[in-house]
Amino acid sequence: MSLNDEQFIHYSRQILLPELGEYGQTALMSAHVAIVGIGGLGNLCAQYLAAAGVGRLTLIDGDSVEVSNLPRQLIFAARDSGKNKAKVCADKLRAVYADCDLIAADCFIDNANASLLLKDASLVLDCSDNFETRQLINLCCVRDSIPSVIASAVHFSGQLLTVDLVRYPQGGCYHCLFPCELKVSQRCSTTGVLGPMVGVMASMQALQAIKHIAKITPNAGELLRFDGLSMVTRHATLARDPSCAVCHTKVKERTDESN
Amino acid sequence: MNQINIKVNGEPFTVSKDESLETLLLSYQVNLNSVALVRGGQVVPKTLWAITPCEADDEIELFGVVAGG
Repeated sequence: MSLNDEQFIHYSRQILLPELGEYGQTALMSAHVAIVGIGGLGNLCAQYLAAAGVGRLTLIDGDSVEVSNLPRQLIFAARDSGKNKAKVCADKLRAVYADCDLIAADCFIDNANASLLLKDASLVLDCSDNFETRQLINLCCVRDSIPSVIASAVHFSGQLLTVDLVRYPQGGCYHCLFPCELKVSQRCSTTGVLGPMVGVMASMQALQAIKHIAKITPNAGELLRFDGLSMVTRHATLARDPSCAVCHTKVKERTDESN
Repeated sequence: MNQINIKVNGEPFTVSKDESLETLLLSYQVNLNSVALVRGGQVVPKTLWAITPCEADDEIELFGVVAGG
């Protein structure tokens, strides 16, 4: 894939970045990103990635727009209430970003449909809103060898990590950090969250996604935690759980293959 | 000297020498199924807590999973 003159001008401010350049822009245009959850994180990530020139976006969400979503899910309006989030978001982005092929899946991801929904995706963005779905997305991504950028936000806390068992197997997967038996105490619907808090995490998630696609600096293998009250960011190096029920076999397979 | 000084989420804490991370969490009255653990900037997976001893001046961070979005 090469850029035409019009695209070169359109994306000139991105191409101007020596870290991205024409190579990175072409990589974005060849990428297929699946976004699971078109809520606070997902609708912003979808906008950023479509605007950046990502070639194909699959938006997955079975939920409908509610007025209580509007303070942080900025692509939706009151007149969208009751309509499917993935479809509304895809329709609105399709009207603005001609370079992006938008696919809407108006269903929740589950064990039965996950492989089909994520088929051919080169990257998955976990923008979901509950722990069980996050575990399922991780399981499918590890199984199908798809890297994932995972973000979350509740109250004034945000977390961000990238899982890529090919580029960075020593960082492990989501389950190595947060095993499925972990208890979750807070949810947006019961604890509350501010629009910009979700926006900060969504912006960082979209930035990580673009960097991952364009192969700018290794960003897998690190956990970032953001506290929106103190504005403090903490970093930690991720570590693979050698007995992880999800990625242990996959990493072993890859190690055996390369030996 | 059988006691060592460490920090847990920035607060000073004293533990017995060679005490495991798991024992530390139990004496800190933390439910093992409620947190992830970072020691000196490195995540320690839960399955390793019982066999990983605390060391003097360890800086331990405990935090829950954030799952919303």
